[in-house]
Amino acid sequence: MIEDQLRATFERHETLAPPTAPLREAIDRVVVRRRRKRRLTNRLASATLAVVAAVAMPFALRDAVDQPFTGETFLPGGATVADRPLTVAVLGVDNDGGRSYRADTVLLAHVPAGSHTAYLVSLSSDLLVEIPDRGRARLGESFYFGSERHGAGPDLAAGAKLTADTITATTGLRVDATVTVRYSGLRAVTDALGGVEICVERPVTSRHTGRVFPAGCQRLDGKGMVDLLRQRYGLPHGAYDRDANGRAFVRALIGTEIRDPVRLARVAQAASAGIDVAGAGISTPQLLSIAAGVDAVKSVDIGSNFRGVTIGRVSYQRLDPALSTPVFAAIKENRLTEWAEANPQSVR
Amino acid sequence: MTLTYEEFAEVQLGNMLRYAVMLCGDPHLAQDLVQETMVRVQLNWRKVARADAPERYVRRMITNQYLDWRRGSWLRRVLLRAEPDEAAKVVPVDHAQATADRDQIWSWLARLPKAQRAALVLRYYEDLPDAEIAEILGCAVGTVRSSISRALATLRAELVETYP
Repeated sequence: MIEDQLRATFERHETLAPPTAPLREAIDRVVVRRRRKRRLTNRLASATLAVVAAVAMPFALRDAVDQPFTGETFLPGGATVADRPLTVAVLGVDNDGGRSYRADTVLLAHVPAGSHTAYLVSLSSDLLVEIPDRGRARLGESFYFGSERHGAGPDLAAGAKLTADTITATTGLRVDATVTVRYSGLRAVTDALGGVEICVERPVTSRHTGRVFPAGCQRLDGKGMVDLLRQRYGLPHGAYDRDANGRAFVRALIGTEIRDPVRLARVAQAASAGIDVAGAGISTPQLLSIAAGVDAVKSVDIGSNFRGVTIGRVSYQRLDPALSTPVFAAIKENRLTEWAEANPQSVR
Repeated sequence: MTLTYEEFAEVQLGNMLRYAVMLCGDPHLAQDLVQETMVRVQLNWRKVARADAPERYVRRMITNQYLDWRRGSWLRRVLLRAEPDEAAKVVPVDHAQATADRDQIWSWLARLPKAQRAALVLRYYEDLPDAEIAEILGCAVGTVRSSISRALATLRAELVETYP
């Protein structure tokens, strides 16, 4: 009895249902709005990751010579595509506790016009170069010569400029922008992420602070991370082990998901404060928007046959023209994508 | 042939709205409930379309959303809107006593716990078998039966009290 009354009640109230047409339109409007918002968030996320990756890359690619980069996809896709080829020099600099800076890592990131792929070419910091108006030196020293100011703090922008000019003089490539990454930038990003868990293969004792980092995984704040990543002496394979730790850091960074928009903003801010971007005819937002459009990163190998040379008791690395010249020519003529397809053995 | 969102909305939106009205007892709340759910349905359409029965999947989404709706905001909105609308649309003054009785039931439904009301709607409005009700509510068949019998008992008690 009550059941029948219930059925009748429900049926009678069917007329309460609002019309469907306006609701459908309202649903579609909200969907459009949310999709737009979602895309925006994605773009912000990828721009931030691009910056973080730029911070991290020097450590990942420090010794691309011995250990070519695996070419993992590292930057999620965004929308912007470069309408002209872009070459950015990423310089990882360290002051080794003193006041003068050297570039430990020199890396060219090239995005061909209309491409979503960034190609990375790393140049050894020990590369023998002719610094314009100064003469023979190692590539990493060009940053020192450019930035050193007697009686004043180093001028990092000038260091980056001279390094870029030296790269142009050595390779013939135009450098559109430089990204200078200091350890402080690394530290700020790590802290903004709330610490990063890093896994190291062997224990490391800091020469700077005496801190002992055990083998295995540990969560470090920015200060600890920088301390760990600077250690080279006392490790069985010196710089090689330091670079392995750097790559472990990059893996940890890539594995860190940033879903929280507040944290994302904080990371972006930290990254932008810790790295200096200088461009010739390109602004930082433009650079970021191109970086956000990059959805794949590949490494181009130009140096597995680096041949050393010793001049005046200083050892230098030299380019192997057979390997490097075609790559530089392809970059110059904006056909690196085609070149990479034709030479898969050199691309990872 | 895969079902598109447009085809689905064309056929099912009306059904979903009526179902939501039975759950909420209020057209505005029902509209909000369906809108919020269908936005998610459209954004994740591929996942919805992969379900064996998209219609049942969406009904389940609506039910969950209704059950999860935070009590505070839900109550506030009921107080703000529900009573005048029902009075205006559903209870014309000159209706027979039988009609008034049924609308009495409608107002008692609003006082039932949400899960009990959902179970009643699924059985006496959607005419679904208990197994399917259990699946939509995400509980055991026994729980469905006991909620329904408890809800009916409450309604019967109200009835006896009002019309002894």
